[in-house]
Amino acid sequence: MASIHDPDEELVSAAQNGNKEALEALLKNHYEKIWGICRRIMQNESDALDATQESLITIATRIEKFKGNSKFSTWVYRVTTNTCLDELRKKSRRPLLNFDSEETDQPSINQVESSVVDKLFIEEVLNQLPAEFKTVLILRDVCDLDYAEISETLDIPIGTVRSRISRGRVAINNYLANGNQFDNWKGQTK
Amino acid sequence: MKDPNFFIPENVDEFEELAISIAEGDVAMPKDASRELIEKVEEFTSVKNQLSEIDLPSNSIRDAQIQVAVSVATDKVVVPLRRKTLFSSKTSGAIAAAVILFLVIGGALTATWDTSKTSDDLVVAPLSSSSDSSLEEKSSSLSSATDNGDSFPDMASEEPASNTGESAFAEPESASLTADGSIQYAIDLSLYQEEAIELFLLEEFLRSEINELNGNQPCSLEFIQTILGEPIISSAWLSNANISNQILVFFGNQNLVLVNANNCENNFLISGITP
Repeated sequence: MASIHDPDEELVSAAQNGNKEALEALLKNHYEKIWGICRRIMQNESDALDATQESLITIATRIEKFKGNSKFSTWVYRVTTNTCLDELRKKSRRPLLNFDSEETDQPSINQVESSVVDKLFIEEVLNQLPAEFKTVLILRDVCDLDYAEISETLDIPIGTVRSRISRGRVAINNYLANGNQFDNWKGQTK
Repeated sequence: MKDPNFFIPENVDEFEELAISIAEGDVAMPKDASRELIEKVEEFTSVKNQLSEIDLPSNSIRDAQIQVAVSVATDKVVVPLRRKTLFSSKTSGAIAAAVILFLVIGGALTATWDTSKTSDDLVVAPLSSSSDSSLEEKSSSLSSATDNGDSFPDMASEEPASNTGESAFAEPESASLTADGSIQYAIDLSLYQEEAIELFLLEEFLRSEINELNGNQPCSLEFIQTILGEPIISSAWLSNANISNQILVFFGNQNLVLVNANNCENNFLISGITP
Protein backbone atom coordinates (compact mmCIF):
# COMPACT_ATOMS: atom_id res chain seq x y z
CA MET A 1 0.00 0.00 0.00
CA ALA A 2 1.32 3.41 -0.94
CA SER A 3 2.19 5.52 2.03
CA ILE A 4 -0.27 8.27 2.83
CA HIS A 5 1.04 11.78 3.04
CA ASP A 6 -0.05 12.99 6.40
CA PRO A 7 0.69 16.52 7.58
CA ASP A 8 0.54 15.23 11.15
CA GLU A 9 3.12 12.53 10.58
CA GLU A 10 5.99 14.11 12.47
CA LEU A 11 3.89 15.17 15.42
CA VAL A 12 2.29 11.74 15.60
CA SER A 13 5.66 10.07 15.59
CA ALA A 14 6.92 12.34 18.34
CA ALA A 15 3.76 11.87 20.40
CA GLN A 16 4.04 8.12 20.06
CA ASN A 17 7.53 8.42 21.48
CA GLY A 18 6.21 10.16 24.54
CA ASN A 19 6.64 13.79 23.53
CA LYS A 20 4.01 15.67 25.53
CA GLU A 21 4.28 18.87 23.51
CA ALA A 22 3.70 16.99 20.30
CA LEU A 23 0.65 15.27 21.72
CA GLU A 24 -0.66 18.56 22.97
CA ALA A 25 -0.13 20.19 19.59
CA LEU A 26 -1.92 17.37 17.82
CA LEU A 27 -4.92 17.59 20.09
CA LYS A 28 -4.99 21.33 19.69
CA ASN A 29 -4.80 21.10 15.91
CA HIS A 30 -7.77 18.77 15.78
CA TYR A 31 -9.76 20.13 18.71
CA GLU A 32 -12.07 22.23 16.58
CA LYS A 33 -13.21 19.29 14.48
CA ILE A 34 -13.48 16.99 17.49
CA TRP A 35 -15.65 19.54 19.20
CA GLY A 36 -17.69 20.05 16.04
CA ILE A 37 -18.45 16.37 15.72
CA CYS A 38 -19.35 16.05 19.38
CA ARG A 39 -21.42 19.21 19.41
CA ARG A 40 -23.47 18.07 16.46
CA ILE A 41 -23.88 14.43 17.45
CA MET A 42 -24.65 15.05 21.11
CA GLN A 43 -27.84 16.85 21.91
CA ASN A 44 -26.56 19.61 24.13
CA GLU A 45 -23.37 21.45 24.96
CA SER A 46 -22.86 19.74 28.27
CA ASP A 47 -22.90 16.28 26.72
CA ALA A 48 -20.75 17.55 23.89
CA LEU A 49 -18.11 18.71 26.36
CA ASP A 50 -18.13 15.32 28.05
CA ALA A 51 -17.88 13.51 24.74
CA THR A 52 -15.09 15.82 23.62
CA GLN A 53 -13.13 15.11 26.77
CA GLU A 54 -13.70 11.40 26.39
CA SER A 55 -12.56 11.55 22.78
CA LEU A 56 -9.42 13.52 23.61
CA ILE A 57 -8.49 11.04 26.30
CA THR A 58 -9.09 8.11 23.99
CA ILE A 59 -6.99 9.67 21.26
CA ALA A 60 -4.21 10.55 23.69
CA THR A 61 -4.11 7.14 25.33
CA ARG A 62 -4.39 5.14 22.13
CA ILE A 63 -2.15 7.14 19.86
CA GLU A 64 0.53 4.49 20.25
CA LYS A 65 -1.79 2.09 18.49
CA PHE A 66 -2.24 4.33 15.47
CA LYS A 67 -0.39 2.51 12.68
CA GLY A 68 -0.54 5.15 9.99
CA ASN A 69 -2.76 3.11 7.69
CA SER A 70 -4.95 6.16 7.26
CA LYS A 71 -4.46 9.86 7.78
CA PHE A 72 -4.24 10.72 11.42
CA SER A 73 -7.21 13.06 11.04
CA THR A 74 -9.33 10.20 9.68
CA TRP A 75 -8.43 8.11 12.70
CA VAL A 76 -9.23 11.03 14.99
CA TYR A 77 -12.66 11.49 13.40
CA ARG A 78 -13.35 7.79 13.66
CA VAL A 79 -12.43 7.67 17.33
CA THR A 80 -14.48 10.78 18.01
CA THR A 81 -17.53 9.58 16.11
CA ASN A 82 -17.47 6.20 17.82
CA THR A 83 -17.02 7.84 21.21
CA CYS A 84 -20.00 10.12 20.65
CA LEU A 85 -22.19 7.29 19.40
CA ASP A 86 -21.18 5.22 22.43
CA GLU A 87 -22.10 8.11 24.68
CA LEU A 88 -25.47 8.41 22.98
CA ARG A 89 -26.06 4.70 23.46
CA LYS A 90 -25.11 4.93 27.13
CA LYS A 91 -27.45 7.83 27.57
CA SER A 92 -30.27 5.93 25.96
CA ARG A 93 -29.70 3.12 28.45
CA ARG A 94 -29.79 5.58 31.33
CA PRO A 95 -33.07 7.38 30.89
CA LEU A 96 -32.94 8.92 34.35
CA LEU A 97 -29.89 10.90 33.43
CA ASN A 98 -31.82 12.63 30.68
CA PHE A 99 -34.18 14.32 33.08
CA ASP A 100 -34.07 18.05 32.70
CA SER A 101 -30.77 17.75 30.95
CA GLU A 102 -30.98 21.23 29.56
CA GLU A 103 -31.70 22.66 32.99
CA THR A 104 -28.43 21.37 34.32
CA ASP A 105 -26.38 22.68 31.44
CA GLN A 106 -23.69 25.20 32.03
CA PRO A 107 -24.46 28.58 30.57
CA SER A 108 -24.14 28.31 26.84
CA ILE A 109 -20.67 28.88 25.46
CA ASN A 110 -20.61 31.99 23.35
CA GLN A 111 -24.33 31.89 23.68
CA VAL A 112 -24.65 35.49 22.71
CA GLU A 113 -23.19 34.68 19.35
CA SER A 114 -25.40 31.66 18.81
CA SER A 115 -28.17 32.55 16.50
CA VAL A 116 -31.76 31.82 17.36
CA VAL A 117 -31.99 30.00 14.07
CA ASP A 118 -29.15 27.70 15.03
CA LYS A 119 -30.67 26.86 18.38
CA LEU A 120 -34.23 26.43 17.29
CA PHE A 121 -33.85 24.85 13.93
CA ILE A 122 -30.65 23.12 13.16
CA GLU A 123 -30.28 21.22 16.42
CA GLU A 124 -33.90 20.27 16.52
CA VAL A 125 -33.87 19.14 12.93
CA LEU A 126 -30.55 17.35 13.23
CA ASN A 127 -31.78 15.45 16.23
CA GLN A 128 -34.62 14.11 14.19
CA LEU A 129 -32.14 12.25 12.04
CA PRO A 130 -31.13 8.71 12.91
CA ALA A 131 -27.49 8.53 14.02
CA GLU A 132 -26.24 6.93 10.81
CA PHE A 133 -27.59 9.81 8.74
CA LYS A 134 -26.57 12.47 11.20
CA THR A 135 -22.99 11.20 11.34
CA VAL A 136 -22.32 11.35 7.61
CA LEU A 137 -23.75 14.86 7.38
CA ILE A 138 -21.62 16.01 10.29
CA LEU A 139 -18.44 14.55 8.84
CA ARG A 140 -19.27 16.17 5.52
CA ASP A 141 -20.32 19.61 6.74
CA VAL A 142 -18.42 20.03 9.98
CA CYS A 143 -15.22 18.21 9.13
CA ASP A 144 -15.37 18.92 5.42
CA LEU A 145 -14.49 15.34 4.54
CA ASP A 146 -15.10 14.03 1.05
CA TYR A 147 -17.13 10.90 0.42
CA ALA A 148 -14.08 8.66 0.34
CA GLU A 149 -12.82 9.97 3.66
CA ILE A 150 -16.23 9.55 5.27
CA SER A 151 -16.36 6.04 3.86
CA GLU A 152 -12.98 5.28 5.40
CA THR A 153 -13.84 6.93 8.70
CA LEU A 154 -17.09 5.07 9.16
CA ASP A 155 -16.02 1.94 7.32
CA ILE A 156 -19.03 1.96 5.04
CA PRO A 157 -19.20 1.93 1.22
CA ILE A 158 -18.98 5.25 -0.64
CA GLY A 159 -22.36 4.57 -2.23
CA THR A 160 -23.90 4.35 1.21
CA VAL A 161 -22.25 7.61 2.22
CA ARG A 162 -23.59 9.37 -0.86
CA SER A 163 -27.06 7.94 -0.41
CA ARG A 164 -27.24 8.86 3.27
CA ILE A 165 -26.07 12.39 2.60
CA SER A 166 -28.64 12.91 -0.14
CA ARG A 167 -31.51 11.36 1.77
CA GLY A 168 -30.54 13.17 4.94
CA ARG A 169 -30.42 16.53 3.20
CA VAL A 170 -33.74 15.96 1.49
CA ALA A 171 -35.30 14.86 4.76
CA ILE A 172 -34.15 18.04 6.48
CA ASN A 173 -35.28 20.22 3.61
CA ASN A 174 -38.69 18.58 3.38
CA TYR A 175 -39.16 18.94 7.11
CA LEU A 176 -38.28 22.62 7.09
CA ALA A 177 -40.29 23.29 3.96
CA ASN A 178 -43.38 21.63 5.36
CA GLY A 179 -43.12 23.72 8.46
CA ASN A 180 -42.88 26.87 6.32
CA GLN A 181 -39.70 27.76 8.12
CA PHE A 182 -37.44 28.27 5.17
CA ASP A 183 -38.39 31.87 4.61
CA ASN A 184 -37.43 32.67 8.14
CA TRP A 185 -34.33 30.54 7.88
CA LYS A 186 -33.05 32.00 4.65
CA GLY A 187 -33.86 35.47 5.83
CA GLN A 188 -31.51 35.05 8.75
CA THR A 189 -28.73 33.23 7.05
CA LYS A 190 -28.37 35.35 3.93
CA MET B 1 -38.41 14.69 20.87
CA LYS B 2 -38.95 12.85 17.63
CA ASP B 3 -41.41 14.54 15.32
CA PRO B 4 -43.70 12.06 13.55
CA ASN B 5 -43.70 14.40 10.57
CA PHE B 6 -40.01 13.85 10.06
CA PHE B 7 -39.19 11.06 7.66
CA ILE B 8 -36.27 9.92 5.57
CA PRO B 9 -37.18 9.43 1.92
CA GLU B 10 -36.39 6.07 0.39
CA ASN B 11 -35.21 7.71 -2.80
CA VAL B 12 -34.04 11.08 -3.94
CA ASP B 13 -35.24 12.28 -7.34
CA GLU B 14 -32.89 13.52 -10.04
CA PHE B 15 -33.74 17.15 -9.54
CA GLU B 16 -32.90 17.04 -5.86
CA GLU B 17 -29.82 14.97 -6.53
CA LEU B 18 -28.60 17.63 -8.94
CA ALA B 19 -29.31 20.41 -6.46
CA ILE B 20 -27.43 18.54 -3.75
CA SER B 21 -24.47 17.92 -6.05
CA ILE B 22 -24.32 21.62 -6.83
CA ALA B 23 -24.57 22.54 -3.17
CA GLU B 24 -21.82 20.04 -2.38
CA GLY B 25 -19.61 21.64 -5.01
CA ASP B 26 -19.42 18.44 -7.03
CA VAL B 27 -21.19 19.96 -10.01
CA ALA B 28 -21.21 23.53 -11.30
CA MET B 29 -24.45 25.43 -11.51
CA PRO B 30 -25.69 25.28 -15.12
CA LYS B 31 -25.72 28.63 -16.87
CA ASP B 32 -29.32 28.13 -17.85
CA ALA B 33 -30.40 26.94 -14.41
CA SER B 34 -34.07 27.38 -13.64
CA ARG B 35 -35.18 29.57 -10.80
CA GLU B 36 -36.54 26.47 -9.10
CA LEU B 37 -33.14 24.81 -9.21
CA ILE B 38 -31.40 27.91 -7.92
CA GLU B 39 -33.79 28.11 -4.98
CA LYS B 40 -33.37 24.43 -4.23
CA VAL B 41 -29.61 24.79 -4.21
CA GLU B 42 -29.96 27.78 -1.90
CA GLU B 43 -32.00 25.72 0.52
CA PHE B 44 -29.47 22.93 0.64
CA THR B 45 -26.64 25.39 0.96
CA SER B 46 -28.36 27.20 3.84
CA VAL B 47 -28.72 24.00 5.82
CA LYS B 48 -25.17 22.98 5.01
CA ASN B 49 -23.85 26.33 6.19
CA GLN B 50 -25.84 26.18 9.38
CA LEU B 51 -24.58 22.70 10.13
CA SER B 52 -20.99 23.78 9.77
CA GLU B 53 -21.32 26.86 11.97
CA ILE B 54 -20.54 25.81 15.50
CA ASP B 55 -19.53 28.02 18.39
CA LEU B 56 -16.29 26.86 19.89
CA PRO B 57 -15.71 26.56 23.61
CA SER B 58 -13.45 29.21 25.08
CA ASN B 59 -9.72 28.74 24.78
CA SER B 60 -9.47 28.06 28.49
CA ILE B 61 -11.94 25.19 28.26
CA ARG B 62 -10.16 23.85 25.20
CA ASP B 63 -6.76 24.04 26.90
CA ALA B 64 -8.05 22.47 30.08
CA GLN B 65 -9.57 19.56 28.20
CA ILE B 66 -6.37 19.01 26.25
CA GLN B 67 -4.28 19.15 29.43
CA VAL B 68 -6.51 16.55 31.03
CA ALA B 69 -6.11 14.22 28.08
CA VAL B 70 -2.35 14.70 27.94
CA SER B 71 -2.05 14.09 31.68
CA VAL B 72 -4.10 10.93 31.48
CA ALA B 73 -1.96 9.63 28.63
CA THR B 74 1.47 10.59 29.83
CA ASP B 75 1.24 10.74 33.61
CA LYS B 76 -1.31 7.95 33.95
CA VAL B 77 -3.45 10.31 35.92
CA VAL B 78 -7.08 9.30 35.84
CA VAL B 79 -9.16 12.40 35.69
CA PRO B 80 -12.89 11.94 35.91
CA LEU B 81 -15.21 13.25 33.31
CA ARG B 82 -17.71 15.81 34.32
CA ARG B 83 -21.04 14.11 34.68
CA LYS B 84 -24.28 15.74 35.37
CA THR B 85 -25.87 15.54 38.79
CA LEU B 86 -28.63 13.06 38.82
CA PHE B 87 -30.95 14.95 41.03
CA SER B 88 -31.62 17.86 38.81
CA SER B 89 -35.28 17.70 39.59
CA LYS B 90 -37.51 16.48 42.35
CA THR B 91 -38.84 13.82 40.06
CA SER B 92 -35.47 12.35 39.24
CA GLY B 93 -34.44 12.58 42.87
CA ALA B 94 -37.49 10.73 43.97
CA ILE B 95 -36.99 8.02 41.40
CA ALA B 96 -33.34 7.64 42.32
CA ALA B 97 -34.29 7.44 45.99
CA ALA B 98 -36.72 4.69 45.12
CA VAL B 99 -33.99 2.85 43.26
CA ILE B 100 -31.66 3.13 46.24
CA LEU B 101 -34.40 1.90 48.54
CA PHE B 102 -35.04 -1.00 46.23
CA LEU B 103 -31.38 -1.90 46.17
CA VAL B 104 -31.08 -1.70 49.93
CA ILE B 105 -34.19 -3.79 50.52
CA GLY B 106 -33.09 -6.27 47.87
CA GLY B 107 -29.68 -6.57 49.45
CA ALA B 108 -31.15 -7.04 52.89
CA LEU B 109 -33.53 -9.71 51.69
CA THR B 110 -30.85 -11.74 50.02
CA ALA B 111 -28.62 -11.31 53.04
CA THR B 112 -31.34 -12.83 55.19
CA TRP B 113 -32.56 -15.54 52.90
CA ASP B 114 -30.31 -17.53 50.65
CA THR B 115 -32.37 -17.45 47.52
CA SER B 116 -31.68 -17.96 43.88
CA LYS B 117 -33.69 -15.09 42.49
CA THR B 118 -32.47 -13.71 39.19
CA SER B 119 -32.26 -10.22 37.88
CA ASP B 120 -30.82 -8.85 34.67
CA ASP B 121 -30.31 -5.43 36.08
CA LEU B 122 -28.16 -5.75 39.10
CA VAL B 123 -25.45 -8.14 40.01
CA VAL B 124 -23.67 -7.67 43.28
CA ALA B 125 -20.73 -9.92 43.79
CA PRO B 126 -17.70 -9.73 45.99
CA LEU B 127 -14.64 -10.33 43.94
CA SER B 128 -11.37 -11.68 45.05
CA SER B 129 -8.65 -12.49 42.58
CA SER B 130 -8.13 -15.87 44.18
CA SER B 131 -11.71 -16.73 44.82
CA ASP B 132 -13.28 -19.59 42.88
CA SER B 133 -16.67 -18.70 44.19
CA SER B 134 -16.75 -15.22 42.73
CA LEU B 135 -17.83 -16.35 39.28
CA GLU B 136 -20.70 -18.31 40.70
CA GLU B 137 -21.62 -15.34 42.79
CA LYS B 138 -21.70 -13.11 39.75
CA SER B 139 -24.45 -15.18 38.26
CA SER B 140 -26.57 -14.85 41.32
CA SER B 141 -28.47 -11.62 41.32
CA LEU B 142 -28.43 -9.36 44.30
CA SER B 143 -26.18 -11.79 46.09
CA SER B 144 -24.39 -10.00 48.83
CA ALA B 145 -21.08 -10.72 50.43
CA THR B 146 -22.93 -12.29 53.28
CA ASP B 147 -23.34 -15.33 51.07
CA ASN B 148 -19.64 -15.38 50.50
CA GLY B 149 -17.75 -15.58 53.66
CA ASP B 150 -15.37 -17.85 51.82
CA SER B 151 -14.60 -15.29 49.19
CA PHE B 152 -11.59 -13.98 51.06
CA PRO B 153 -9.37 -17.05 51.14
CA ASP B 154 -6.46 -14.93 52.29
CA MET B 155 -8.13 -14.91 55.66
CA ALA B 156 -7.98 -18.68 56.01
CA SER B 157 -5.95 -18.47 59.18
CA GLU B 158 -8.66 -16.43 60.76
CA GLU B 159 -12.26 -17.04 61.48
CA PRO B 160 -14.29 -15.75 58.56
CA ALA B 161 -16.53 -12.87 59.52
CA SER B 162 -19.49 -14.94 58.55
CA ASN B 163 -20.63 -17.39 55.97
CA THR B 164 -24.11 -17.91 57.19
CA GLY B 165 -25.88 -14.77 56.18
CA GLU B 166 -25.11 -12.99 59.41
CA SER B 167 -22.36 -10.70 58.31
CA ALA B 168 -24.61 -7.68 58.37
CA PHE B 169 -24.27 -7.97 62.13
CA ALA B 170 -20.71 -9.14 62.19
CA GLU B 171 -17.55 -7.27 62.90
CA PRO B 172 -16.79 -5.47 59.65
CA GLU B 173 -13.07 -5.95 59.89
CA SER B 174 -10.87 -8.96 60.37
CA ALA B 175 -7.13 -9.48 60.21
CA SER B 176 -4.98 -12.05 58.54
CA LEU B 177 -1.31 -12.83 58.34
CA THR B 178 0.24 -12.65 54.91
CA ALA B 179 3.13 -14.73 53.63
CA ASP B 180 5.62 -12.06 54.64
CA GLY B 181 4.26 -11.97 58.12
CA SER B 182 2.58 -8.60 57.91
CA ILE B 183 -0.93 -8.17 59.11
CA GLN B 184 -3.56 -7.24 56.63
CA TYR B 185 -6.98 -6.24 57.66
CA ALA B 186 -9.86 -7.42 55.57
CA ILE B 187 -13.04 -5.44 55.70
CA ASP B 188 -16.41 -6.84 54.88
CA LEU B 189 -16.95 -4.37 52.12
CA SER B 190 -20.43 -5.59 51.42
CA LEU B 191 -21.53 -3.65 54.48
CA TYR B 192 -20.76 -0.46 52.61
CA GLN B 193 -22.43 -1.24 49.31
CA GLU B 194 -25.42 0.90 50.15
CA GLU B 195 -23.24 3.96 50.70
CA ALA B 196 -21.25 3.24 47.55
CA ILE B 197 -24.34 2.82 45.39
CA GLU B 198 -25.74 6.01 46.80
CA LEU B 199 -22.55 7.80 45.80
CA PHE B 200 -22.70 6.21 42.39
CA LEU B 201 -26.22 7.49 41.90
CA LEU B 202 -25.62 10.87 43.42
CA GLU B 203 -22.45 11.43 41.45
CA GLU B 204 -21.54 14.20 43.83
CA PHE B 205 -18.36 12.83 45.22
CA LEU B 206 -14.85 14.09 45.37
CA ARG B 207 -12.81 12.77 42.54
CA SER B 208 -9.26 13.67 43.38
CA GLU B 209 -8.59 10.58 45.44
CA ILE B 210 -8.11 8.60 42.29
CA ASN B 211 -4.38 9.04 42.63
CA GLU B 212 -4.23 7.72 46.15
CA LEU B 213 -3.28 4.31 44.93
CA ASN B 214 -0.70 5.37 42.38
CA GLY B 215 2.58 3.71 43.12
CA ASN B 216 0.93 1.00 45.13
CA GLN B 217 1.52 -1.84 42.74
CA PRO B 218 -0.82 -4.46 44.19
CA CYS B 219 -3.45 -1.79 43.94
CA SER B 220 -2.54 -0.19 40.66
CA LEU B 221 -5.18 1.52 38.62
CA GLU B 222 -4.80 -1.23 36.02
CA PHE B 223 -5.59 -3.76 38.70
CA ILE B 224 -8.67 -1.81 39.77
CA GLN B 225 -9.76 -1.36 36.19
CA THR B 226 -9.45 -5.08 35.57
CA ILE B 227 -11.76 -5.73 38.47
CA LEU B 228 -14.11 -2.98 37.45
CA GLY B 229 -14.33 -4.35 33.94
CA GLU B 230 -14.57 -0.91 32.37
CA PRO B 231 -12.64 2.36 32.42
CA ILE B 232 -12.43 4.14 35.74
CA ILE B 233 -14.34 7.39 35.62
CA SER B 234 -13.87 8.58 39.15
CA SER B 235 -13.30 7.57 42.74
CA ALA B 236 -14.12 8.62 46.25
CA TRP B 237 -13.38 7.74 49.82
CA LEU B 238 -16.34 6.41 51.70
CA SER B 239 -17.10 8.94 54.36
CA ASN B 240 -18.42 6.64 57.03
CA ALA B 241 -16.59 7.67 60.20
CA ASN B 242 -15.65 4.13 61.14
CA ILE B 243 -13.79 3.50 57.94
CA SER B 244 -12.62 6.97 57.12
CA ASN B 245 -9.76 6.85 54.62
CA GLN B 246 -9.88 3.10 54.51
CA ILE B 247 -12.29 2.30 51.71
CA LEU B 248 -12.04 3.71 48.26
CA VAL B 249 -14.76 3.28 45.74
CA PHE B 250 -14.00 3.39 42.03
CA PHE B 251 -16.71 4.18 39.57
CA GLY B 252 -17.16 3.14 35.99
CA ASN B 253 -20.25 3.81 33.97
CA GLN B 254 -22.23 0.86 35.23
CA ASN B 255 -20.02 -0.80 37.79
CA LEU B 256 -18.28 0.20 40.94
CA VAL B 257 -15.71 -1.52 43.07
CA LEU B 258 -15.02 -1.00 46.75
CA VAL B 259 -11.39 -1.40 47.68
CA ASN B 260 -9.69 -1.66 51.03
CA ALA B 261 -6.91 0.89 50.58
CA ASN B 262 -4.68 -1.10 52.95
CA ASN B 263 -5.28 -4.41 51.27
CA CYS B 264 -6.31 -4.23 47.69
CA GLU B 265 -7.01 -7.93 47.40
CA ASN B 266 -9.88 -7.08 49.65
CA ASN B 267 -12.33 -5.67 47.15
CA PHE B 268 -15.97 -5.88 46.29
CA LEU B 269 -17.52 -5.42 42.87
CA ILE B 270 -21.04 -4.19 42.27
CA SER B 271 -21.96 -4.38 38.62
CA GLY B 272 -24.83 -3.48 36.38
CA ILE B 273 -26.11 -0.47 38.23
CA THR B 274 -28.38 0.94 35.59
CA PRO B 275 -31.56 2.43 36.96
